[in-house]
Amino acid sequence: MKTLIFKKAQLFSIDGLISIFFCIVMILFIMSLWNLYALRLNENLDSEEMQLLSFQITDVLMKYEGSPSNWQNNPENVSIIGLRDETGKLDEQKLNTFIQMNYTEVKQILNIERFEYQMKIRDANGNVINSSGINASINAEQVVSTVRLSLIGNITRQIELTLWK
Amino acid sequence: MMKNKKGSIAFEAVTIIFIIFMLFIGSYAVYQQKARELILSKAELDERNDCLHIANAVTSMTMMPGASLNFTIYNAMTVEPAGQRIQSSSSFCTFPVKNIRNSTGSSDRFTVNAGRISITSEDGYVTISNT
Repeated sequence: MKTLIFKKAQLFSIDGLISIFFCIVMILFIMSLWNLYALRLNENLDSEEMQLLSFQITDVLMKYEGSPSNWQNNPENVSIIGLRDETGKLDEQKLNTFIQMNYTEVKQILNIERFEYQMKIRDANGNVINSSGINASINAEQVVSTVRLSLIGNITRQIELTLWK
Repeated sequence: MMKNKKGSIAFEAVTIIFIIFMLFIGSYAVYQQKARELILSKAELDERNDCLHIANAVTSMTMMPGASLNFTIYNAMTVEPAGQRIQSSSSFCTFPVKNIRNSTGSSDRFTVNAGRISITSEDGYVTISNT
């Protein structure tokens, strides 16, 4: 007599569950990767905006006389801060006035209230001669610096503007 | 004698197929959501690009009295001269100068439509207008 016994197959129970588990893990991994890249994209956008603002501000400061052009005599009424003199060099009096101006007031005029800033004047060897603003915190999320070279009188100076938040 | 028992594979198969089906539905929902996010991000980046283009031009024009510049923007922008800010529907940018006005000479908030725009610098002011 021939006896045939049909046993239950185990294919779905183990293999199926393992493959579903890996499938879920893969989906979760891809989703977290997506979110990570979205976060990095936003950080890059913030950083690029700060770089652009930093370039624009140093551009205006170093290439424009300011509005009114003799604003250093009455800094309360300044509309646009510019440090250039008629010859294209930096005006030392304007620079000193700018450095002594109120920190919050400067942020308002330059429209950088969302950020903090520091401006350093260095000599040709990189030694700091003068500075204004607040030094970038160790815990700052983003820090962007722009360095420009200019003449004050006939002496080369480095103007460094740092924006941070 | 033949023993012909029914296997329980039918129930397991249905369960597994259900789980796989739910997984596909879930994946599709995630895909749809991410696709929507991507479209929004692209729109935001396009608007931001136009915004920064104008902000950059305005700042540069401040330093070049008498100069003018024409270019195309693809999204409408609202310029707030007092707030030194340019706003679009999902993005914004700022600029460090204050001397902005529209073609009528007003420094109140105004809108620039998508299309060719002209930026000119005269009389100490930078004028933004559609051409």
